[in-house]
Amino acid sequence: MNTWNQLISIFTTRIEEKRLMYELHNSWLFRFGIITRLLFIILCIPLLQKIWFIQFITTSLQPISFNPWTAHLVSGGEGMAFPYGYTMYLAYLPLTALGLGIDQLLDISYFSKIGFGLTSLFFDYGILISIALLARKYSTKLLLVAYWCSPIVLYIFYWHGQLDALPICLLVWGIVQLQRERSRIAGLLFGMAISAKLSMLAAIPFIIIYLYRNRRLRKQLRFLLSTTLITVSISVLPFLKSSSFVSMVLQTPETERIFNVFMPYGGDLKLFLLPLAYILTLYLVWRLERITLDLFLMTVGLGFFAFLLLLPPAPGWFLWVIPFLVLYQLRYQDEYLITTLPFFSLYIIYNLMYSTGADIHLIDQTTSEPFANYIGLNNIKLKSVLFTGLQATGLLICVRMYLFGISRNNYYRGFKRKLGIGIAGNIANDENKSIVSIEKIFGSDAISFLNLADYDKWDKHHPMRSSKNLLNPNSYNLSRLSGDVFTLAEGKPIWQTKFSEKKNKHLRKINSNDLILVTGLHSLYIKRLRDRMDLKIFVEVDETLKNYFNPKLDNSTYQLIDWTSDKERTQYDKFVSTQIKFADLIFRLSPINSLSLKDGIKNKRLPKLKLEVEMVNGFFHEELVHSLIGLCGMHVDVQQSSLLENVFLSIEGDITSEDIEQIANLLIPNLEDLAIGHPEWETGYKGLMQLITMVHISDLLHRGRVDNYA
Amino acid sequence: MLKQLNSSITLRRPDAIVFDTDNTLYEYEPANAKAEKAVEVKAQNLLGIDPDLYHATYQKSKKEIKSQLGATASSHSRLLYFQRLLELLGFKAQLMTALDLEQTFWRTFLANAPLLTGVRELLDDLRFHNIPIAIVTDLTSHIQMRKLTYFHLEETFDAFVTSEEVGADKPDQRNFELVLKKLGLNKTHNVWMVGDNPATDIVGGKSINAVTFQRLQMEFEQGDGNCKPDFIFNHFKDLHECVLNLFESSET
Repeated sequence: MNTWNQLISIFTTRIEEKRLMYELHNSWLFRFGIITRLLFIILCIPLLQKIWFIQFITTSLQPISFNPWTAHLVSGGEGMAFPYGYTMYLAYLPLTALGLGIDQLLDISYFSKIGFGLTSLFFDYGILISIALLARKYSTKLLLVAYWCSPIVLYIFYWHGQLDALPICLLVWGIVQLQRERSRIAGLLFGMAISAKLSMLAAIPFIIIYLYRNRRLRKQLRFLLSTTLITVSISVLPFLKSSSFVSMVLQTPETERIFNVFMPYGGDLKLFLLPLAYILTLYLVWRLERITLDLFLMTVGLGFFAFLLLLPPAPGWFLWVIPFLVLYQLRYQDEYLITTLPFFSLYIIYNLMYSTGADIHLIDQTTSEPFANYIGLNNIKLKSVLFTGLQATGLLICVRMYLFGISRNNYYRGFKRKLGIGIAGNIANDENKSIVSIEKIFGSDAISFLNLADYDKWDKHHPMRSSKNLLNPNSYNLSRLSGDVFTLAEGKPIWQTKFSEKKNKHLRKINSNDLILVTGLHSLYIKRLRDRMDLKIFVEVDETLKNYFNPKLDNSTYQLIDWTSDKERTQYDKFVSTQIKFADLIFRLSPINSLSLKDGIKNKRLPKLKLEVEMVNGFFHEELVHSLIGLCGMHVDVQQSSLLENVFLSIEGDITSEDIEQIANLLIPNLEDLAIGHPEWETGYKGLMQLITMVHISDLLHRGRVDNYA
Repeated sequence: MLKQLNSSITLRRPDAIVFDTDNTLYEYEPANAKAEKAVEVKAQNLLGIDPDLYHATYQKSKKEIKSQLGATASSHSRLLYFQRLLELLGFKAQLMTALDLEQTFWRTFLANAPLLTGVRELLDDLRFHNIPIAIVTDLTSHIQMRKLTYFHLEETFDAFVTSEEVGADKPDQRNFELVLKKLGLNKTHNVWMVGDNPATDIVGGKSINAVTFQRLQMEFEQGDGNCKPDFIFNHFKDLHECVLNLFESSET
């Protein structure tokens, strides 16, 4: 079990993933699936494997040939025996060759088939794990029922004997790598999938759209496509000169099937339905507002479904949609029976009746012929009725996948507009950074930064400064700031005029990004601006810490505003502190022990701080407190307001960025849909503020609004 | 499957059930191995220590702390192991580094220590049927409380005893007597003790006349002689089934 757990930990990074993986492998359904598969492999030999695939591989070994297609045709083999690329050949070669060696020693013909079957089992298991990794949170029982114990999967791999396990396994693992932003590995896997089976090319346009439409992922596209292209070139180009390869792999009757379903358009003209449906599906994906990973997976599934519905029936091809269908089922558990059972049942009935199967070793009689031959039901009308039922139930699944999977299943669907975040408080921020450091999670490219300091009416030497200091909101052009926010919210860029120290004027363009972040003393001061802010944060640092938040002292990005007179204090209370009542989220930083301040300043070292957080009750604070205490050993005091509307957390202790990352993965669903590839979580109080703000943003994007906040 | 080894015992509805924690409610070894590996990697990054030297020194520091403190809660303290490790490596008292390594250890440990399947369901049913449940565990209270909080079990148990509270590790009888005292029970009551280690949990359980259940797993063999449990099981669902049957029969 230790080795098993170590193996699992290679693939899983999150606590919940590890727990689910452990549960998955310890389920009796998993064992049932394994035993059933092994029984099929030991007892049955699918006709396709017997007459085509195994023979193809064994022929290529006697003698060993670099071009197995030529070797096969030269030895008089069938032209349809192996319509797959070199990756497929290499993947099935080792165990089949080992089995062949044993067969030759014992002078039998059995173990090559076992080796071949075990290879399929390996990739079949790979698909299960990759679905689990993509799903992240799921019912292990449903996953095992829907995939591992699915009669369709067992039928395709172990009774009908198709080899689609490898290309699908590579494709889904490629998507897992894409999810983890390992674009080169993903590209390699996609390239290998295409090389194994050319029809996997159908998934590539969806992947391109997904990456291109996600600004934070766009830069991966180049690496992914180049790696895919190189992989395909290496594994396909050397064989293009081989007429055997071209005829067996590229010019197969399967390729022609794309044009089999058409609508007569008068005269000799035909409207081919498959390319039409495929292009429409691509357009549908292109038009989606926010393409998250879940949405992307649903659309790839739908794209593949278009193939199935508009192609003459091919049993193996149904496996293409299975991983995506399972992912859909894991998301919409209630839909499982209604949508899939009729389809699965009709698929099994149709294919048992009209497709080849396997011979069973213990039975002398052949059982691999289509069952319709045995029972004399080769009635074309019945076949068409079953086929119509199969297509109709498939179409039903497509419609439901679109309605529930795409239209409604976007976790962050709640938000249709630019997200406005206003941060006020007694901290003056740097222009491209905020005290809550969300730019380190979203990436600077995803945020339009607006700093109140850029809206000063007068420079520090202007005579007006003597009557209106920086604490006075009239010192800023708040109307212009508000106008700029609304312009950005409409998706248009703004131009800011900036003056350098030498009074040189220059223009700065700020693009409209998904997040508009307004920081500064009076960010929440005027109503129009405040109302546009979807999340209002107030940060108050204890004034005794003002010497520690000073760029001159410790290169800190942040500086506390300072006041020296009673008048300034009054202005602070009147203009800045008053904004606290509008805030959805309040952070207060203070020293744990004020006595430590005297010593600390000499060392310019920030004393130990206590972070107090005020936010709405009934949200996520219990989970947060559990994680802070359990995982990090922090000291957390929780209090609630008299009507239990708000919750106050007082957090003390040392917390590292690794701790914060761990907790973020627990608290923020689908974090990878929001964050850049390698988000930088902060340490200490900054990390906590970053985390709590991120949970608020994720909830906001999910539900579309903030309810009943402070 | 729950297997009875002591045929003289007839199971009745228990007055309380006492659980060990490590390796009983969750698998200890995989989590411990991953946590130690994470600390090793961190120590290599922070201090540039050769892996072989790290391993040898870590084992040495562990051995020294254990022999110095004997069978007490602090003898399991990772903080002390790492502090001594740094001292043995010649880094003197690097307190922040020792604390950092300790936090890395426990964070990784907990992240890799899922509660065993069936534990939560069993505990929920015991609470529903008003059976008092308690924990008797070695190690320091702080980390054991953190673990139970992490598992969301912080409000589940009626009594909680660690060897830190008693001053000696299990099977010291005082651990088990203290838990009985906290539960308001004595040795004449029908108490069940559930644990993984025959030499500590089963022997300790017997010292308070408890019916003993050993959860079989890879680290410990089935107890024999004085350490022989009354029942053995592999999965909590088996124990759960047994408990539910007793509830059913006691209600009818």
